[in-house]
Amino acid sequence: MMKKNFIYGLSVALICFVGSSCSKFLDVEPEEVLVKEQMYRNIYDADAAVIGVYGKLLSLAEQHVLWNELRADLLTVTNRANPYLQEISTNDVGAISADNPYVNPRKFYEVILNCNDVLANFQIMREENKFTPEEYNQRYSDIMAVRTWVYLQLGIHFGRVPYVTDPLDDTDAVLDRSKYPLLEFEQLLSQLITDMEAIPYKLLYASTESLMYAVDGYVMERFYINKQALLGDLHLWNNDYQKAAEYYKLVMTSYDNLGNDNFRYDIYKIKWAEITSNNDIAVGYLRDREQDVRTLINSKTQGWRSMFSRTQDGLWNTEWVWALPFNSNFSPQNPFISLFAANGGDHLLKPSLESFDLWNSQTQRNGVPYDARRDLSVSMIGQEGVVTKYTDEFSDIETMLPIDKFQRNGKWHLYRAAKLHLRFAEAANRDGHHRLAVGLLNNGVGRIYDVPDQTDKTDIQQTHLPFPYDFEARMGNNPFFRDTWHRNDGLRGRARVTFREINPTDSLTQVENYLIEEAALEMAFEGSRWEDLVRIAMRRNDPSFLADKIYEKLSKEGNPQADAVRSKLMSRENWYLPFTWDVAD
Amino acid sequence: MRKYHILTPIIGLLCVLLLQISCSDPWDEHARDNEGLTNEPLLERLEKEPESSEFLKLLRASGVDELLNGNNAYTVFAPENSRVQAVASSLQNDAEALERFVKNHIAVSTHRLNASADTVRLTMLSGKILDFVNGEIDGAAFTKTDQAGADGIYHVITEVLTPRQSLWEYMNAHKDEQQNAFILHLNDYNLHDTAVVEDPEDYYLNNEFLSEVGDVRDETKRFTYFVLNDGDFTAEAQHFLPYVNYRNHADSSYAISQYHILKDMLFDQAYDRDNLPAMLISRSNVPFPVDRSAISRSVRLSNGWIHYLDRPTLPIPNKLVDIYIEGEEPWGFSASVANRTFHRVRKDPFGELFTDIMVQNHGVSSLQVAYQTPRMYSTTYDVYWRALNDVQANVFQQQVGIFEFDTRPSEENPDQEVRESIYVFPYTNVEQNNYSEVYLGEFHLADYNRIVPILRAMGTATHGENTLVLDYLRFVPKLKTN
Repeated sequence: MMKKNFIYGLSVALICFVGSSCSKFLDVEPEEVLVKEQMYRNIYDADAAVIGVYGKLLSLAEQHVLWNELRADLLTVTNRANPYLQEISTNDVGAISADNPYVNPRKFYEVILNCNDVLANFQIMREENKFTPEEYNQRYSDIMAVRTWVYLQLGIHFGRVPYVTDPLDDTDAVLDRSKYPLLEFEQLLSQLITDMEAIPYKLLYASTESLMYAVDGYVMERFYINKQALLGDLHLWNNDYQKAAEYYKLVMTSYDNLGNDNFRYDIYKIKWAEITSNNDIAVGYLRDREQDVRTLINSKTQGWRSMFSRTQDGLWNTEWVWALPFNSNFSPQNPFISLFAANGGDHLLKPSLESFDLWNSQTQRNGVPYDARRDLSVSMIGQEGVVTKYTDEFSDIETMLPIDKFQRNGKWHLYRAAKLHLRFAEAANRDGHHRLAVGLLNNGVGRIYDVPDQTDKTDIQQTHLPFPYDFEARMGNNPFFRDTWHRNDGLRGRARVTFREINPTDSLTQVENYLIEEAALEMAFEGSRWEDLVRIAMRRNDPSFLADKIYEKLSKEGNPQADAVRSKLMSRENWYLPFTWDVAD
Repeated sequence: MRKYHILTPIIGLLCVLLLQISCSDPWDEHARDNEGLTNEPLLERLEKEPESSEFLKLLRASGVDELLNGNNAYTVFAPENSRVQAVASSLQNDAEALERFVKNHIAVSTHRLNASADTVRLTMLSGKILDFVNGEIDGAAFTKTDQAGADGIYHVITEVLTPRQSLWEYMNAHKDEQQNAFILHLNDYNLHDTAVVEDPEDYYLNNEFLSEVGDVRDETKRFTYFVLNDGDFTAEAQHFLPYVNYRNHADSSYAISQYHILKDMLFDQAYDRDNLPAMLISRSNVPFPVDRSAISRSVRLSNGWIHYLDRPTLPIPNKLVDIYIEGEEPWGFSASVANRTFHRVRKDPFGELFTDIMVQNHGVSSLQVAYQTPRMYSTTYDVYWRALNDVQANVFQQQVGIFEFDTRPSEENPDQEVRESIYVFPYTNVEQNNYSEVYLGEFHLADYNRIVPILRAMGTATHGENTLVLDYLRFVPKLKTN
């Protein structure tokens, strides 16, 4: 026995000796982590896998915003930004350093492979009858939608990407061109549409599903991707306007029968302002003091600005389609505070002069000669702007100081009613329904189909069109009507800016230009600008639509590359980031 | 039966030891970073420097060397021996001057040679600020640079850095010149009889020139200042006297006139004679034409330049600057209408944004909004307003009245203090969407004083009729012809 122990001790010593390099000495399998065989046993394991995918998805937030906003015209770098960020802002894809970490698509493939793994295991679970067909359908479709969303982002920014559906253990295997050839964007898009049309379940999780239970105080309803909104986007990219409009319309009306009348009237309807109480998410002033610029509702609990920081209450639910929370208690950490905050962050990014010019060329309906959304999206430190949309949960509005510098909560704002309406209007406009599009953009469906001095509203204030262009917005007192859309105020109505005059001879292009510009005014810095510009430039086969806007940003800030970048962006090849990463040893 | 062999813990201990030695020690690495730096104190290094021996003598004589005791890091700019010898005799018998001189060659912290075109403004121990730029300090070149010691660094330079006077020190040293004498006189003389603070020790609060025109004691600022010869200064003050009639009191008025001559002679930034632009805007906002041929001599200061003029160059019309009163900066209201007072932002046809005030639907008959002005010259004024009526469908009227600033007992009730009116303009239409200035008329101000312009609404409580709106009032002082 003694001898045996001695040998045992000696072998321990030898192992210690071999293992005595500095790192990895303590790498043992901890008990809290599941090994593969232990996963996917029941519905709770499946739920954990779904939440796990979303947790991983959060790590893409920073790059998503950099790609879609910093590459585009509304966001630029401060002089505190590192050269890698400057490269993205200048957007000369040929001049981007090989080691620029912000353009590396590897993390996106980590999420995709994670999705592939989960999808494959869900299928096995289904075959082994470990959960019901309903449970399977909902979870499988959700993860498929996440993967499709990630692929769409990759397609938009890299043009040609490998389409991988295998669950690979090694992310770098994605780069094997013999196995995974690069798909052109158009091919990728039709593949993604096929994938998404084939999913067995396109609605939100049923309210009885375990995944809908509140977690850590977060209502989970808008935590998951909206598959119909994604389908609308895919069809819009594919210029299939009728289909796009159908899916968008389904989202707009998805709550109509899920609650009381206010669900039907308010949720995703771009509701009018509550001018007496200001308990809304519209641009507003104190009542009867609208002439006084000091009374602008600039608050975290009332008015337009509050949608970015208010708790997930009823009003929040009327606007947000998809938003993922960052919380100091969970990983990954909120990347936006470092990017945007001036106090408690590094203030690396700021609004471009071009974005100010856009807001400053608007007039509010009370005569104020700029768009109030400027002051509700941006604060000023001296001459330099600070984007506040991402930091309102973190900083005080007045002082711009952190409320508690260790509470770095925030949200990744992915989809909201304004985007839904603008994209529906884009599809409707292309599908020949200019008037409806202008109504949604300007002052609401009810008003554009109204005959003001006619008191009997029975046959007016509605489109008289078939689905998805059927909108009923009647609000009459004799006879009495309160239709589903009667509170719709239009994007510009809600933002209190003057309405666009439409030139009847070329309304198609003009309305589309206005819709894209409205997206800039309403959703600046929220991560959809670049894809808007690329989508329109591709549809019109007119690269100048994109190139000129980037030029405006660069030339206004005196970037000597402005001319060169414009001429490069005139060829589609230069819209795309270099698809590569260094294979780790 | 024992479960473990006695050797097991020993072997385990060995393992731990092995682990520890296999990593490098960051502290050793840190220590190695500092190899190659000399550890000699700065003073010892200076002693070995043959070119700084003369400066070192002055350093020891002044006692400033005690500062270089290793408790703080300093940079010493040591002039070459020959240069120091040339000035040493003049410093011999003045300990204070010697100390100032030596301290003007030393700065706190270490500063390596700045060869770039970006100016480093170096505060010397003397309190003076020298420009360190293009490989020169205050114009002196370097023969030896970046000589490091344990507690500092020294350079050898080609010129001595004799400390210059600040503008305030210069004025005090040249009290014989009338213009300077008058400024110093303000230390204990109140221009106006309304001074609130009486502290003879506090020049800044007492001296209107320092507090209102510019704090010329400040070494961190840069000024250009013009001085008239005594005869011209007196003549100019006499000439301007009609514009500053202060309570019909001759002496006070003359002092105020002198003040108004020199308040327009101080300018931001230091311009030497050759770099003076053709037109300067004074600290008091007066356009000052520069005639270089009138400059008889110039003096360089630590915080700027003085130029002596041999004739006056500033015509009176230049001094008569328009006065703007912004509508959104009221002094008071005749009734509380805060909820009906709107600060608005508008864009004029030239694309310029402006803020105005509108008081609307307040229900007060003859509502008054009072403003106040700075002290204004005793002369006649043309008065204009810009008032934008853009949200009402009707034209309304409002009027402007000019009132005295100082109150006096009412004739009816001597216990009540009232402001007498100077002139009241008639009610005037505020036409719709008119972005242009509207000429209201002229009034005469007999006294050099502040005034209270009052904007008054129509005598009705009807909404829309008693609206008040004002972007600004503009007062244009007129030249006196007689």
